[in-house]
Formats: sequence, C-alpha cells, structure tokens
Amino acid sequence: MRNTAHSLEIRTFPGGASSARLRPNITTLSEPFYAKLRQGILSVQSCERCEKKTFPPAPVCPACHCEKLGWTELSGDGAAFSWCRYQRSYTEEFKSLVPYIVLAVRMDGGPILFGRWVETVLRPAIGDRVSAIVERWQDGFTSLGFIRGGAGR
Amino acid sequence: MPGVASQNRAAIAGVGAVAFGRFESTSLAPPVNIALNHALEDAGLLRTQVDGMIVQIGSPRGLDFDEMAQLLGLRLRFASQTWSHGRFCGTVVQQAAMAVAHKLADYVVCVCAYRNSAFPRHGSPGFPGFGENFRETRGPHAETPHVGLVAPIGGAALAAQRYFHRYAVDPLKLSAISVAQRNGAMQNSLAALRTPISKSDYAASPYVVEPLRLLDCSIPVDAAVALIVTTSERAADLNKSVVNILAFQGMHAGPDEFVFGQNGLGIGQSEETDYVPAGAAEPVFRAAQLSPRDIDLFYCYDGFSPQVLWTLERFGFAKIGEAADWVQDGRIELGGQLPLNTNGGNLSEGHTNGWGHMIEIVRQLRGEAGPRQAARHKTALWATTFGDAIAFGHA
Repeated sequence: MRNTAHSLEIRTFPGGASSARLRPNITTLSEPFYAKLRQGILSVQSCERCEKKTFPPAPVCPACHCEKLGWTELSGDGAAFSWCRYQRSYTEEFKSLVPYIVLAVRMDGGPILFGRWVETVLRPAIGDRVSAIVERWQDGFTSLGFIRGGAGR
Repeated sequence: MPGVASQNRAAIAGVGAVAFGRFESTSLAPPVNIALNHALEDAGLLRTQVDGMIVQIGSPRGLDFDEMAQLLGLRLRFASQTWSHGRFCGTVVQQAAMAVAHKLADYVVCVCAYRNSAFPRHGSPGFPGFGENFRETRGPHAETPHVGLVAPIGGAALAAQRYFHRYAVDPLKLSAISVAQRNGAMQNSLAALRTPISKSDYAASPYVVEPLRLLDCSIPVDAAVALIVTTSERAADLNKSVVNILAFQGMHAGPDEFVFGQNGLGIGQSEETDYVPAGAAEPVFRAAQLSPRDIDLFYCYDGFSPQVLWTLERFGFAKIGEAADWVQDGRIELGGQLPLNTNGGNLSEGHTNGWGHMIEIVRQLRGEAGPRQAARHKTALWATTFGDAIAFGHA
C-alpha cells in the first residue's frame, strides 16, 4: 500500500439505519478495499506490470493478464463520468432519500467508481470535478459517496 | 471468428403463446400447456414427437426443466436450462438449432414461462434475482445496492446518460422507438399495452431513473411461450412455410461487455474505449451471406429503449452515435425502411425476454402477421446489445 495518507471526509449516511440487506459480498479479493474505506481511505488494485488500476478487485489484470496486483491509494478526486437520478425507491434503505443521484466517477489516475451524490442542492454535470467521501451507516458499514470537488477537505 | 452458418439447417416448426399480462392461474403449468398446444397445432406435430426441451426461466419465477417435463408429460432425450435472465432468448434458440443439427433430438421445444406478478417489483429485495446483486463484484446490470444503484434500470440509465453526452444525442429522440413499437402492439392481440401514444405523451412521461422515462421501460408481464425447432428437412414436411435459421452468432462476454450499453461506453466493468462497431462485418452477416441492407425486419432485445439504438449501431444499420437520428421520420415503423420490433417488443407487447419477438419473426416471415404484416418479409434479424444474433429467412 503506497503511503500517501489521503483521508476522506466521513459523513453519517442519512438513509436507513441498517446496511444488512444491501451490504456487498466482501470476499478475500475485495476485503482490502472495504477495510481501507472504513478507515477513510480509497484504494484500488494496481497492476505491477502495466500499472492499470482495477476495480472491482480481480485475480488477474484485465488489460495484460498479469497476476501481480498490488493496492494503491487514490486521492479521492475525479470527474463525473455519468449520473442517474432515482425518482422511485426500490429499497426501504434509500426511500427517504428519493429523489437521489448515483454517480459514475472517473477517478484521477484510476478506474470508474460508483457512489451516491451526497450533495442535496447541487446537480452534477458530466465532467464536473468531484471528491469522494465516506458515508457511515448507523451500524458502522461504510459506503462511497461524492461531493462537489474541492469542498469538505 | 466466424458465425455459424446453419449447414445442417434448423428451422422454426411452430410457435405458441398465451396473451401477455397477468395470469389468473397461480400454477404456471396450465398456461404453458396452452402455449405448447398452440405450438404443436401450429407445426402439425403431436406431443409425443417432442423429444427435446430447453427451458429459459426456471424457479422460482418459472418451472425448472425436470418439473416442466413431468407436468407436460414430455418424454425427452435432450433437456437443458439456462440462467434466469432475459438475455438468453437467442442463446436458447441457437442451442436448439445445434441440438437438432447434432441429432440430440428431432423436435426441441424452447419454453419460456414465468409469473412476474407473483413477486414484488424487479430490483426490489423480494424479487427472486435480488441475491445476484451480491455476486463477487456487482449485480448483472452493474447493481451496487449499498450506494443506491439498484434494479436493472440504474445501470441502463448511467449508460444512456453517458451515451447521450458522448455523442450529443437529444434524449427526446428516443420517443420514435416507444411510439413505433406501440403502433405495432396496438395491432397485436398478444400485447399488454395497446393504447396509442404520441411523441408528446413520451415527453410528458415521468422519469423512473433519469434520464430514462416510464415509456423507455419494458412492461413486466407473465409469459408462457413455446417455440419448436427442428431441421429444415423435417420442417418442410410440416404444415407451414419453412422459417429457416440461416446463421447465428453467440452472446459475447468479458471485460469489454456490458448488458446495457455499447462496448467501451465505460459503464459496468467495461473501460471507456474508442469503440467502432463491427457492423456489417459481424460474423452473422457473413455466415448468412447477407448485409444489413438485405434485412427486411429487425428485432432486438429492448429491456430499455436505448438498447434499440445500441443494437442498430452494433450491427451496422446506423453509424455509432447516429442511431437516434436514424430512427426518426418513420424509418422503423411498419411501412418504413426497416420495421423493427413490430410485435411491440418488450416495451409494449410485454417483457418476454425476446420470445414475443421470436414468435413475431415467424409470423411475419410466413406472412401471417395480419394487420401488421410487413410488405417485405423475406429476411429478419434478431440481435442484441450484448452481441448475439440470429438471421432468419426462407432460403
């Protein structure tokens, strides 16, 4: 793990209290990502041969098939790549947040990640600078969120 | 990477379905039995002649192959079943063609039957597929429920938004698809949605997950479809004019593929690339010795309306980024240059995973489509955003 110590802002998730029904399947491969996120650090796999940054975690680099994949920290900054806005809730946990926006973000030097748009007033536009934050659920689970770039740090 | 020219030619012998909507029967077996009887009657076959079956949607929404065979009294020497996802429709027909070509069976019935009405909304925790959200990485449509990205429509909406941005597409141009397909459904007694819609109805349609509106979404239904595949030789001895499977190519998979979106759009697990579709160079065209210009009727998987654009581009009917313009001005309506999803498609006939499209292909190529019969009906292409395709024709 590269030691650059980018700490993300941590905010309380304003939706449902329990993440139990929505929590990802944390495996041998993906555990480092979620463990670091709990500490406020965003990390992805990095190929030792071609340096491609990969998410979701995989046993082999999808670009060059090298099996030597380490972990590298990201700054948390990136640009909005796409977004969608839910006008309907499919889960109780997000019901009180409707309408809410989910972003796809091209991370600086990294892959495209999904996260909730935590801003309540502003709407993102593709290309806008955004920054990652961590949303902490009441049961301690942490998930990725995004705010307007440059704010909150 | 050639497509498969169906040398030991396979053909569709018969088709049958129950009108799409909400089944009153809480058992699926009676509607499936009706669909099978329709298909047998259509083909002029006896139930005892069916010796192969492929089931697409198994339990809990549908019946699994073993139970299906027991309940329908089918004695089979070839049985198979696929993943319970819509995207396997073309794959099932291809497997049936391969099975008859390799003499695993003489008559393979492809069955797709399920009751969506027995479950909560697709994408919500009570829906049978919800557990797939917790695969090792993401759900099959890029679902990431803990950040709110749930239901197939979420991934489709992200892909559509990126596509509109990347190619400067006016999203309101999608209305041409919804309207054309509804026009087909209005003349189709199987269809679930048959009230007319206009472009202004489309513009007034509420967002479900922006940028996708209600009229961009397929309509969930209960379905029971049976389609019988045999060799072209055997089909020639049956009731109806032969609808041959001319050639096909398989579903694609891998890091560059995403079910809702073009290769290289950057949603799902795929990276953003300078994707140029193979178009007319897709193997199915070479194997069928046809070009996109030779296709009279086009059918594609349309869980959400942008998939029609992406499929037209992937298979060379429109240039990349230009399909939204291409579909305007009646071009895809009955009577237009390339009528598409004339049954109403998943958007208006009902989400049958494409099985309604397959029935329609057969009816159109036979000239049996009644009020929605296309003038030119020698060839039809089934194709999907995710790469599989089947060319049908009389040749």
